[in-house]
Amino acid sequence: MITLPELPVLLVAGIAYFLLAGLIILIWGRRLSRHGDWLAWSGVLVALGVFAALAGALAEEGYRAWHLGRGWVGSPGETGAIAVGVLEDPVGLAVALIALALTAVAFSSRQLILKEPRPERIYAALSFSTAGVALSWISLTPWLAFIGIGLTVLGGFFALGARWEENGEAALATRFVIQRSGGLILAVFGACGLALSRAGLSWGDPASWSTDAGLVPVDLIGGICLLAGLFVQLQPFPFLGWALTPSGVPTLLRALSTQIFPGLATFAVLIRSGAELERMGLLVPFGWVQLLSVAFAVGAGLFQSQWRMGFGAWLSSAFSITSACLVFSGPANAFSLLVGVALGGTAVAGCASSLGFGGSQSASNRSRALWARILGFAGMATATGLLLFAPAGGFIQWISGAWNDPLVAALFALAIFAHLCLGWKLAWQLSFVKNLVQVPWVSVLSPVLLVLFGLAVAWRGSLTGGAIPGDPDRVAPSAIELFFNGQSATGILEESAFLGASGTFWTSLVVALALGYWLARKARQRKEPQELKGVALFVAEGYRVDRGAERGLKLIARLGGQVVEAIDERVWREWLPRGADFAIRRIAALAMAIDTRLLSGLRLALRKCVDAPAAGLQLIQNGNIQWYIFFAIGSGVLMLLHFMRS
Amino acid sequence: MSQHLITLMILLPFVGAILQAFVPNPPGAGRWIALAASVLASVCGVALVASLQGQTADLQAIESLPWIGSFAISYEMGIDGLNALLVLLVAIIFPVLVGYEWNQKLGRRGVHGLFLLLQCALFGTVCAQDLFLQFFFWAFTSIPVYFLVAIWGGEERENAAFRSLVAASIGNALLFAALILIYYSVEPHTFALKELAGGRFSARAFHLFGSEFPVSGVAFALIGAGLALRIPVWPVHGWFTQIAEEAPPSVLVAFAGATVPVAIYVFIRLTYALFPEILSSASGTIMAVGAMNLVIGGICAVAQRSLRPLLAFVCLGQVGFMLLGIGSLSSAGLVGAVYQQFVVGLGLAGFALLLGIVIDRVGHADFMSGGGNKGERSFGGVAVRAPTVAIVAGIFIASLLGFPGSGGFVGNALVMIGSYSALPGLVLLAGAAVLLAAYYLFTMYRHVFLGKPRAEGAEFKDLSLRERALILPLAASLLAFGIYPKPLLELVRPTVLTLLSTVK
Repeated sequence: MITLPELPVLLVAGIAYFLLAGLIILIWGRRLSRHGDWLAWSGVLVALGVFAALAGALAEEGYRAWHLGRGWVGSPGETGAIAVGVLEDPVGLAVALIALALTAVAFSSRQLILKEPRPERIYAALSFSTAGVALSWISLTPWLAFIGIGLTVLGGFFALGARWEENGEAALATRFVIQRSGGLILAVFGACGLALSRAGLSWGDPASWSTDAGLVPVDLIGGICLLAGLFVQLQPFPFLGWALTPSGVPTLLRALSTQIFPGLATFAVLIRSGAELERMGLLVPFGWVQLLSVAFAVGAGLFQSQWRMGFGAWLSSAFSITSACLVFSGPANAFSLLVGVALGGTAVAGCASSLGFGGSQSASNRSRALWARILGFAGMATATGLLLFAPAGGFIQWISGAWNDPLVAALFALAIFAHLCLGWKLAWQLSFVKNLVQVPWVSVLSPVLLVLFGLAVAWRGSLTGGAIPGDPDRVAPSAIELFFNGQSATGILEESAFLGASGTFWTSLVVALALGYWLARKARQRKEPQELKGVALFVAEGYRVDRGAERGLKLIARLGGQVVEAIDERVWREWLPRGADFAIRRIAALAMAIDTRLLSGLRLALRKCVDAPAAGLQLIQNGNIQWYIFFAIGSGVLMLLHFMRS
Repeated sequence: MSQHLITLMILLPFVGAILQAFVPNPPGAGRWIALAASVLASVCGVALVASLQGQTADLQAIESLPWIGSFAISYEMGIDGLNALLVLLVAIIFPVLVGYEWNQKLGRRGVHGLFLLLQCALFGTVCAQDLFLQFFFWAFTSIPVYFLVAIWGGEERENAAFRSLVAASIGNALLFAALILIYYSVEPHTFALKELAGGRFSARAFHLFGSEFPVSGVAFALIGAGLALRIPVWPVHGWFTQIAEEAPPSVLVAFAGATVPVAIYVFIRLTYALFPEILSSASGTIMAVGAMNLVIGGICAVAQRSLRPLLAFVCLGQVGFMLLGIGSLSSAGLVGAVYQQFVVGLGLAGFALLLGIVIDRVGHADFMSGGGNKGERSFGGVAVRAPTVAIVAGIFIASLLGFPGSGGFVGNALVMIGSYSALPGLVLLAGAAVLLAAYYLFTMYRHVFLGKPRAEGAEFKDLSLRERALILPLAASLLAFGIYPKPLLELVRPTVLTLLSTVK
């Protein structure tokens, strides 16, 4: 039996194998048989084997977490050091297994993948994304988790890249990667700020997060940047515009690779760092911002004419709701919501990809179509916590935790209600679709696995998932309590608060079901795609945030152009050369003028020096006898005087 | 032999440059001699770095000979944690450049000879421990660059080459003035770095036009100004953008990938060793200049529609990052800046080389159409025809942006951690600039590599075997040093800590 200390290398090797398989498929997939899907499946199996070994080892140790850290940049334990390591705990194991299950469902939709222009990119994308999620959740420190998030971004990029050769799809893929990269860069910046006064940022060692100096401004800046980066990764409002842009990639593949997997990876950092960020006082504002984003996302989703765009908005709202639950109710309840989003959302997306307007209503398809609609409904039940599914308990305990403050509880309930409304509208719209794209039974039924995984009994040990006070329907130990050290025990909550919250939640759910049906019928009755105007169009376009951002970037580009024009063109290529040329010519002209004057002055002086004796000598040569006699007598007198003096 | 490894490393390219120029038939022999000389010199460099003892700040592989005794100028060479990575950088880049110009039809011997001379000069600059000797090699680097641009450049090559020579000459003149000032400020006069270190002349002053000026302050300003004209520091960078537009890709690589990091090394070496007390008060200014480079470089890059000036402004931004680390006066910041010299050098070198290949294949550098940019010419869909080019370009972009797992992440993270303690506001500005960098680099990537393939790129082929041999090692190095930076960091840290102890 492999023990926990022996597993880190194996875990990393398993993830690396999955990554390598994805890379090989990306580069040589076209030459491999079946576009390399067998290699992708081998990655799933290897990862499954490795995580099964982890499960066994954890069970042996009573599900106690174990970690191994190493210095990466700087020595471990040193302030400002960047350390990496592996954290082996049941939460990480659970999420990694969820990711593998989601990938298996996607791979089993082989017909769907083969319809893409470049199927090998899809297999590679999902391999990268799964490896990224697993890496994020086994990471001991944020740094390796950031690499995991980066891998999921890469996966999303390649998934959209199946259609890169179309300009519109290329633009969409670029927008996706710019947004996600920006979030990642911000998160890294934030972690650097936190690392300045801390030794390692290890999630296995809470002491590594404490500082001697207490909270300083740099900590706040670091924490805000980290949260901002994670916020961007989850794509809430105002980063919603991308999710509302249509794309030819099938719903299942797009939802998984661009929203669900990156969201799962991001929650690794959020959940693990939550306690520390709460101590800094940063988490509560983050939670309120996320709640506000729910309102905007649901608004935008309700006005979408295409189902898949509405679903993109709903996924965004789902992650926002989960983040808010994490802030206001703790990681245990947030985890149950996260499980619902991941499993239920994928099931719904899978069914939506099977049901399609391009399909047929042939007799052979009818039973498959029926199953697809049922599973689509079941998927939404998984995601929203309809009876027997995991999120129910999370929602109820969240509301009951705020019951003493009616306004706050009402706001929570309203946000949840809005989120449920949109979800059920989408589910009802799916149920109205009769056409089925030609897919085999395995593709239609694979969401069953996810729905079963999403049952409350699998996560909370009780049939209703903590929806009844005191858990009388508990049949097994609660996995979530095990993950989070006994949190989410219903016994600690006041019974009146619990009953009130429970009533609020179930009422919201029933009303959302009914309202969703009505909205879906209204949408179905419109024969033409609705032509939105005014406010509705504004909302449907994601509140035109992207347009504003585009304008901002164009302004920056214009400013940049003017700076280049001013400095590079005008100063360096015109003024400086002209100025230098002018200065040099003027100085040269001045020097020439001085030189000329000097020369002429010299010449003049020289002439004068020469002229006088020359004139005298000329007198001697002019042939005039009186001058000869004058010089002769004169020289004689001078000689006489000289000798008389001496 | 091992005692004279540095001299061998410097002499081999010089001898190779002369030999390959004069070797008679066959015509191809010259390039093999050039490659052999460059590779052998690089092997010496790698052997030198590999033989360094870690965990020590002492100068190693010291070679010392009197040169011009009457002026106390000596041939003094040595290697420590501060210059080891630069030796490695130059050792990696120049054989690649010689290989890149393998099939140069016009004056191949000239190109190879000039690259070898540049390699010799850069090795000399990096290893010199005597100020005069360092200046000698450093000033010499501007000459091969001039000829490389002036002869093998684009349409306005003479202008670009002349402008770069003028800027370099002014910079060198200012630097030389500083050296002379320092030389005459100490008794006995000397150029030796180890004797001048620690601010020996900090209390000295000189008189000019009836006023007294502190030697260290004036010398620091002269060195800063002189090197600012050789590194692209905004706003005295105009010559660099013109070089980027006119120089052949290999020359741009030599410049952006090697000469610029060496210039920054000279700045670190001189300022930290000679002006510790001035550095404490000037650190804010250095960081501000760095932040300005980052921000303005980013804003200008957003406006670019052509690959060459885009690369120039990317280089400007990366220089800003390094200046941020240098000015932070923290161990993390300075280690990060030194590490950044290496990875940014590799990243810019590889990226410039790759873009050069792309430009050569397509025939122009305009990746975005419109806006008065030579009509509708643009790229598109290169990834379809050349997937290797696309993947490798992605790796270089990831490194330049500092994505975790790439070489650039380690340097960026350390610079950030170090700079936070000094001026957090500037770090936020730097962060905004990096976000802008993500926008313009990925936008460029989309226009060049994604989308519908343009008809004019129909003949675009993927990397040849020779090109893969040149570029893939650069990309692989970036990934390798991003995942496992420890050996290099352990070389750098002790020297950095020793330098910082004199400042603090």
